[in-house]
Amino acid sequence: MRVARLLEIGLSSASPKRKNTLSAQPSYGEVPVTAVQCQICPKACLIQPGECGDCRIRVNFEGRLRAVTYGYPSAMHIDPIEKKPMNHFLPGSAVFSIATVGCNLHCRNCQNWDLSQRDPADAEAFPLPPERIPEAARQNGCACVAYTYSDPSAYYEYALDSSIRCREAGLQNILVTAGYLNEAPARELYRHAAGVTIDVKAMSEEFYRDVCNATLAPVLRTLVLAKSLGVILEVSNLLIPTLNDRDEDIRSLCRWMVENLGRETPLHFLRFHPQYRMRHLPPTPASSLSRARDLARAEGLHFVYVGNLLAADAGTTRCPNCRAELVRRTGYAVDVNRLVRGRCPDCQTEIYGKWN
Amino acid sequence: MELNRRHFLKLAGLTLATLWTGAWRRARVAAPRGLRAVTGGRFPGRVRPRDARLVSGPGPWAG
Repeated sequence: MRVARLLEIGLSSASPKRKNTLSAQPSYGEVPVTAVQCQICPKACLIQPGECGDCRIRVNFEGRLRAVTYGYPSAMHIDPIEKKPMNHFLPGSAVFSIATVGCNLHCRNCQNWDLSQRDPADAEAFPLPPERIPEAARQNGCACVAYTYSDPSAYYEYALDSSIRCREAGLQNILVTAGYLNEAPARELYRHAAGVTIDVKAMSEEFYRDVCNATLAPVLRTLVLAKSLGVILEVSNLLIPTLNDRDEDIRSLCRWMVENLGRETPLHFLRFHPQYRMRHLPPTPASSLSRARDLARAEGLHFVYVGNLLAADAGTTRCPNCRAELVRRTGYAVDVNRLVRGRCPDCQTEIYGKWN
Repeated sequence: MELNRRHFLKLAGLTLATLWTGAWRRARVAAPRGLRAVTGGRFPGRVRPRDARLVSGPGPWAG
């Protein structure tokens, strides 16, 4: 089968007579009748019959797009919610986390490249249609379902249908995403979510173009949209040595967050580990993460955390008013939770998040 | 250009060489949009039953 596919590809590219189901040759400005333009993300892939989009998930089959990973996740696990990372949403909760292979970004530093950059034809998956997800989550003792690891923007249809089913069943939906999505589908998906963590790679169009094969502006738009929809929004930023760890990079992100999302929006600085196509760079030093946190606090953000690093106070939530320790964490484990109905027990300041 | 026997053998040889070197796997990562899907829209990879033991633990991936 695989050899036959290779021959088909090889012969079709060698022969000047391509398979052509068109009734007429397209002229400038027109698109072939059987080609389909995907509307999910800003890449707007024009997908020819039999081909897939940049995410490898959507295939043009007889003039209609089909997501070949729909109902077939390749990853299903039970994670602590702090691992997403989400520190302001039901601390200590176990989350039923699923993902399919494929992604609409191709970040050279991807920490989950084995999943996100894998072709569905090379992947192993389990059958789990959306209507079975609430049952699977409950069987594993989870009140939350997270669409994570790769990106729910890529397996959009599966994430959307699953979110609807889970919400109807009384479960909370969590999205962990790069936020690279068009506004209309984002609005449709996010209105079923209770919590969203969006990863901002860098505040630089050059970084997004050179490292991620994407653009920054849609991500910023998605952040503002998520905040406006009232979901619990948290932001993460993977600090990569020499690429996005300068003081001005960090300040730029923090100032934008303060101005557009509010000081109460939590920010997680994550430690980079050499992966995929960036194995030549070192892991992020602990000092860089501490420096980033100090800069973020100086810019006025109330809740700043350090992730992928076991360090004192890295995941501690403090009251922005009286600095009292509210939630103490060691790694992903919650040691102490002093919040009372979402407020500081000492000064009664309301703390951003969903705590019950 | 007509596909003659020499050309076909050359293509076949290149294909086998590509398979052998693993360059095909790299090309699939680099240029996914050029692939031609012949699976009819179904999941094209391997499907296996859900394993409760695998699900119950934390994932090896970030996030």
